[in-house]
Amino acid sequence: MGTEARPRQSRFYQIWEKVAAVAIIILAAGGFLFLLNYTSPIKWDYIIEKFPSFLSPAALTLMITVGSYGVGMAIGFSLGMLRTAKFRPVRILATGWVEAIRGTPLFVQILLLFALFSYYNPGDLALPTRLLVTGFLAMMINTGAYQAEIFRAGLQSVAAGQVEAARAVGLGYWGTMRSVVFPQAFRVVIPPLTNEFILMLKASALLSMINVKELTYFAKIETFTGNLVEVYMIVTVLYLIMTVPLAKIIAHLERRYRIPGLGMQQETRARQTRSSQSVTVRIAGLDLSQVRRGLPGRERTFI
Amino acid sequence: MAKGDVLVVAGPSGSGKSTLLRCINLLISPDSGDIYLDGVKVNAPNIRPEWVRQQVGMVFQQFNLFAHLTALNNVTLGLRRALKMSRPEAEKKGRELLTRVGLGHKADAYPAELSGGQQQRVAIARAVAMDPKVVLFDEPTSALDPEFIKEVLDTITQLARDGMTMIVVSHEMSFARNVASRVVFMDDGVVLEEGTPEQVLVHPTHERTKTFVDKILE
Amino acid sequence: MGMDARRNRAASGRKARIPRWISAHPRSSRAIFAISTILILFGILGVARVTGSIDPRLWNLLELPLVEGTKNTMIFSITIIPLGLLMGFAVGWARFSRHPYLSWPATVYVDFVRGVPPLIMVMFAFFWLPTLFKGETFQLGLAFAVFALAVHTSAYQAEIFRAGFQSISRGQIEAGEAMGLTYLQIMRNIILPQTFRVTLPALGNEFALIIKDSSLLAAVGAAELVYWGRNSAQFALTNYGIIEWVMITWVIIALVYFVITYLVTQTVAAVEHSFRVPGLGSVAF
Repeated sequence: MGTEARPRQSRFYQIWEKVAAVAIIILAAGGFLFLLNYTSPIKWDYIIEKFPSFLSPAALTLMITVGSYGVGMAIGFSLGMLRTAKFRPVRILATGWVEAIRGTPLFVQILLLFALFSYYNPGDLALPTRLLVTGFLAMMINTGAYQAEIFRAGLQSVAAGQVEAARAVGLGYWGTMRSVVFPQAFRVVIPPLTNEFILMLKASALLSMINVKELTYFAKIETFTGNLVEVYMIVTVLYLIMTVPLAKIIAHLERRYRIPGLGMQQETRARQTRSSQSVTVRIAGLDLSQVRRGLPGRERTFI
Repeated sequence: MAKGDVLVVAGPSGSGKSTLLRCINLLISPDSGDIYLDGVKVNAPNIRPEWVRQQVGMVFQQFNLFAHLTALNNVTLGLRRALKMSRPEAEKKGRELLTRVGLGHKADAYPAELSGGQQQRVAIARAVAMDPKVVLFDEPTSALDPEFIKEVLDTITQLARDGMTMIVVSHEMSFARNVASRVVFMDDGVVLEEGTPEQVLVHPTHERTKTFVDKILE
Repeated sequence: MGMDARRNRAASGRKARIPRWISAHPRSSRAIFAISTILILFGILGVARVTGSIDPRLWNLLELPLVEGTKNTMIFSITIIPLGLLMGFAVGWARFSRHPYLSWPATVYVDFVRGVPPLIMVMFAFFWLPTLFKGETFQLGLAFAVFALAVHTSAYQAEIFRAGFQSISRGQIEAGEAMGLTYLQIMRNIILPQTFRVTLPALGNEFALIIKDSSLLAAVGAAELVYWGRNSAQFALTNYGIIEWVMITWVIIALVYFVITYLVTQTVAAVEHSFRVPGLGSVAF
């Protein structure tokens, strides 16, 4: 690999490689479907018939996630501010809380709250409501701690020098926050916040363990009919629909609106000169300049 | 090129200077034309590119030092891996070379702890370590802050005085005038002019060369 | 499950523009917090034990989670970590590849696995995969459930490794080539050592996440910490009706998780520290 003299890659070869890539993906998917089909044939009509009935549990999953995430954001922002507070005891308390929540599994938190609520049942809630509230609170507390960390990171990503500069211009504490710190922190915080939302959406599956009637719970009940593969296919597709587009949009926005030098994303190269860029481009396999100018060149492989 | 020659290649950016260097050590295979090293045609299918590259040292514009290795290990890596030299032997040679480029005291520093000029001098030591037949310099000073340019050029000049054969892509005209035995002017992948520094830089015949030299000297 | 694995720590240096908060990470405050919590809780337990003010029935409740549960959680984690590491490295490599026939399937794999809740994967692996083989046993299902978690973490680790590979400048690889090193020599001497250093902190976080995620195995009846915790909690509620004991059980289980994950992250941080090279930060992504 790598260094032997090899014919220059033609356009045709590049297209062929892409065709091979798609073929491999289709082949893998086909193989997986074959396996799914192996013990008993997949009942496609069951999938088509039952799919709509999965939508309302999916909606519940989405609602719990959005709700707990939203409240958790308020908690997270406050905790994040507290973690950067000047007053030491406040900072230590906030840090302790965040670390304790982040250091333990959400599952344990859910079960702890579940035990607490099933014993005391504040407000004499009906069982389904009680479970819902339990799950909601557990997720809210959990995401609150994680978001606190994100907000703290965002706030601290604004260099101290800039805060000083803002003060020097004559802005007060809140003025500095509002016009210098927040606008920059906001950009930094968006991608990890969205990532956190996706993670929470997936984590909400855990609520099925305390019988909250969301998507995974519904699936578990449905599998008692014996259509295991079909049910899991539906559920997987639903989760993918809820998570993947969001992840892709964020990845796109992040690439598009990234301000150079700002953000948690690492810039790979400090300084790109023409020659080093052409090397990068050559290896990345996207070599417009060479195509355009017809310079001698050959595709190289490193990894 | 004869042994001990110093060839300076000049020309506007995008004129194929870097490509030329990368062709010589087969980082890019030439579309047409052949490359001879010691009378051996090296872009032939029966020649291992690794073997060629061991005979041809290269110094890059961006230094390209290995970030995880100390200056000394940067110099000795090729000796130990490509030439299979023993560690003590390689380190002895590495320290000698670092001393030669004036960095004997920085042998255990990591690239991030060195200035740009120091990094480039380590890179030069690294290229020379393999006892190459020719050393290629790809704009060795253009990524440097002005205060470091001189130390690097001095190192290269010293190397030339010691009789090293080299090809230097550079815009440093005074350097070319002092050190080069021949100067080549390239544009658009084509050699426009070739000759002694005097011929090319002082009495250029070609219009493009004239404008370029004027711009550089401004 | 959270973003702290995908969180990044470490390193100044001008090559990587990593925000200040990372190097200012309050590791020391975290250590103090962890140690003081442990001391306080064990102090309370110890005093209660010595003064005999603690009910022997509570000790019985705590015994299985603390002994069996901790042991099994660690066994599961120790199985998942190397498995996930191997798969994650392979997929990360494929994803970094310039060849579409490697990188595209790897991308689909990563997107797919990261889009599905690990609980779904664990349950499906547990219930379905054994049906492909003769003699469906609980053990086989459990093995597949563990494998599912390894797959889950491999998708995240793939991204870590990819970022690690990408952090190595192309120029260094070119310099290695210009020196006459072969592809394998470049891999071994230039790419791998740097990837190793640069990905360590992120991997450490991922390991901590695996330990927490292994609690999902309780959903399919694996006898780890949460499983025994639920057992004890159930027993305490039905037989004694003392909610405080249930709370104590859960808090102690949470504490065990905290201690294990803390030890892992600190160990990785120590390893990272001993391999630290000026100018080489850690990947952020």
